[in-house]
Amino acid sequence: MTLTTIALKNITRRKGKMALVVFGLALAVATLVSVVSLIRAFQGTVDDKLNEYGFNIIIYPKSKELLIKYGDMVLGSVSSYQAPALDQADLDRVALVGKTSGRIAGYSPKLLEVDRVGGKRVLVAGVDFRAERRIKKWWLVENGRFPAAADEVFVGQTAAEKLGIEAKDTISVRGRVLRVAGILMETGSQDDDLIFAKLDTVRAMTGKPGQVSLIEVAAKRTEDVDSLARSLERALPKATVQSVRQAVEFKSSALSHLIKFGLGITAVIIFISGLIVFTMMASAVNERKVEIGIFRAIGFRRRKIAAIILSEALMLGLISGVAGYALGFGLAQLLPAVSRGAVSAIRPSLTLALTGAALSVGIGLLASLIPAWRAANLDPVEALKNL
Amino acid sequence: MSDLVRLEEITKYYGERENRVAALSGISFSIAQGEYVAIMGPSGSGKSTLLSILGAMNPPTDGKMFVDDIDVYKLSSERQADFRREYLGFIFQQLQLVPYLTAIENVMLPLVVSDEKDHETKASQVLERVGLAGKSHRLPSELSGGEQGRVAIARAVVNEPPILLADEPTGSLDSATGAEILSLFSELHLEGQTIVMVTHNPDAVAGANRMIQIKDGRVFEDKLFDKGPV
Repeated sequence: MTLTTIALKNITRRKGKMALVVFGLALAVATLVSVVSLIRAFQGTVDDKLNEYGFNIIIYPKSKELLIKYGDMVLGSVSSYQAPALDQADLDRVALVGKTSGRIAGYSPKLLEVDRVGGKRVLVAGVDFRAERRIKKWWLVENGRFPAAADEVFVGQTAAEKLGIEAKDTISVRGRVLRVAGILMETGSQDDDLIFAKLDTVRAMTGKPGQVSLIEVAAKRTEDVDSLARSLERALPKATVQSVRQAVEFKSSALSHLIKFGLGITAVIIFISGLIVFTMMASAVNERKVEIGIFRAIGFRRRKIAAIILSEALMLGLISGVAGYALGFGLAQLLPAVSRGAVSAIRPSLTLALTGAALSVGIGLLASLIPAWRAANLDPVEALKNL
Repeated sequence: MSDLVRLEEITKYYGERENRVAALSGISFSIAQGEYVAIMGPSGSGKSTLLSILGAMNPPTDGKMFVDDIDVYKLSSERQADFRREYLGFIFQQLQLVPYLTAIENVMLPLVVSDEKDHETKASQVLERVGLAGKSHRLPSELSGGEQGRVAIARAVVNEPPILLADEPTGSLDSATGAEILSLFSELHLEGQTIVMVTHNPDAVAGANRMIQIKDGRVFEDKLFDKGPV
C-alpha cells in the first residue's frame, strides 16, 4: 500500500465533498477553455470576414497635388479629373511581390474615367471582372448576370436607379454602344455609383492602352497588411501605397476588448474556484483529525501527511482538468450552432487541453497547501483527544 | 529482564500560571523487557497523560523518558515519529480503525512508512495470527467488535515493535469479546511482547504481571505479581 492508495481511498469515500472540489476546478478550466476557444473562433471569423471585405491596400500614382478621394477611392487631383496613371509594369511588380511574399490573396486593377450616360456624369471603371470578384466576394447580381463579352457592362444599384437602367438595356459611353449584362446588388460602397466595363474596353475607349488608375490589393491576412504595404512601396516607387487601417484597427480593438473581458471573467472564476477547493480541503482535514492523529501516532512524518493531502489535490485536479475541458469545449461548440455559422467552428486543441489540466492541478495544489500544512502540524494527542 | 523504558521524575502541567494544573508529578518507574504492565487509576488521575508521554507524543514539562537508552524527548518531532514507528505499537481507545480502509489495509498502514517491501504478505500473516485470515478485505463496519479489536492489535504488532501501548482496548466491548481480546494480549505477552495497558478492567489486570496505580498524578501503588502472568 502507498500514500497514493490512501489518498485515492479517501477521495472515493468522501464523494460529495470531492465532487464539489471537482466542480470548482472544472468550472475554472471550462471557463478558460470556452473563453480561449471563443476568442480563437472569433479571431478566425473576423479574419475570414475582413478578408472577404475585399482589399486592404490601395495603390495609386504619386501626385504632388491634392487628391480627390471618397472613402478610399482616389478620383484625381483637384486641378482636373485627369489623374496620373500606373501601367502594366506596375501590375507586373505587384504580381511579383505577391509571388515572392505569398501574402497577396488577390489584386484588381482599375481604370477610372468620368463620362456621360443619359446626359448624366457617371464614373466608369474598367476592371478585370475575374480579379475584381476575387477580392470582392460580396458582389452579387441583383438582376441579369456578370459581363462576359467585351461590350457588356455591370451597373451599380444606385447608378442604375438614377440612370433608369435595367439588365439587357443598352447604353452609350463615348459613342460606343454597350449592353447592360446585369445590375450589382446593393453593396453600400462606392461601387453602387459606378458602371463597370472590361478594362481593355475602357482602355480602348479612352485611348489609354496598358494604363490603370489604381490597384486594389487584398492581403491574405490582416496581420500582414502593414508589411505587405511596405513591400509594395519598395517595389513601386512611383506609387503611393495606402493600407486600409480601419479593418486592422477594428479587429485589434474588438479582439483586445474580447480578450480583456474573457481574461477578466476567467480570473474571477479561477479565484472562486480556488476558494471552493480551499474550503472543501480545509473542511476535509478538519473531519480527518482523528485519522491524521492515527497516522502521526504510528510514525507518519509531517511530510507524509502533507503528501497524502496534496496527492488527493493532484488526483482531483487531473479529473477536473479532463471534465473541465470537455465541459468548456462543449459550451464553446454551442456558439457556432447558435450563430448559424456566423462564428467559425471550434476545433479540439491538445495545447488547450494540457493547459486546462495544468491550471486545474495548479489551483488544486495551491489551494490545498494551507490545509496540507495544517494537517501535517496537527498535534497527534489533540487530534486523538484520548490516548 | 533489562529495563526497556525508564521514566525519571516525569511531571506534566497543563495551563498557564494560576490556572496551571499538574496532570503528573514526579513519576518515576522502569519497565523491563517482556513485562505486561496494567496502569490503573480513577478518571483524571493522569493515566492517559502518562500513556501519551510513553507514546512519545506529549513532551513532559519536566523529567526524562528513556527507551532503549534513547532520551526520547531530546529527539526532534520528526525523529520522534520515526521512533514511534520503530519502537511502539498503539491500540487506541475506540480502536480507531480507518473506516475507509479494509482490515488488511488498516494493518498495512504502519508498513507504508517502514522498510518492509511486501506489505500484503506481512499483513496477511499477522491477520492470520490474530485469527482473521478470511476477513482481510472487509471494512471495519463489516466486522464485529471483537474482530475490529483483533485488527487493531494486528495493526499494532505488524511492525514487530518492542513495546505495545494499549488504551482501554476492551472499553467499548462486551465482556465475552473483551475476554477474547485480553486472551490475545496474553498470548503476545507469552511470546515476549512488552505491553503497557491503561485499563479499568480487572480482568485485564489479572492478565498482567505488574500493576501501577496512579492517583492525583502520582504513583500510588506499584505491584509486581510474583506468580507472573495468568
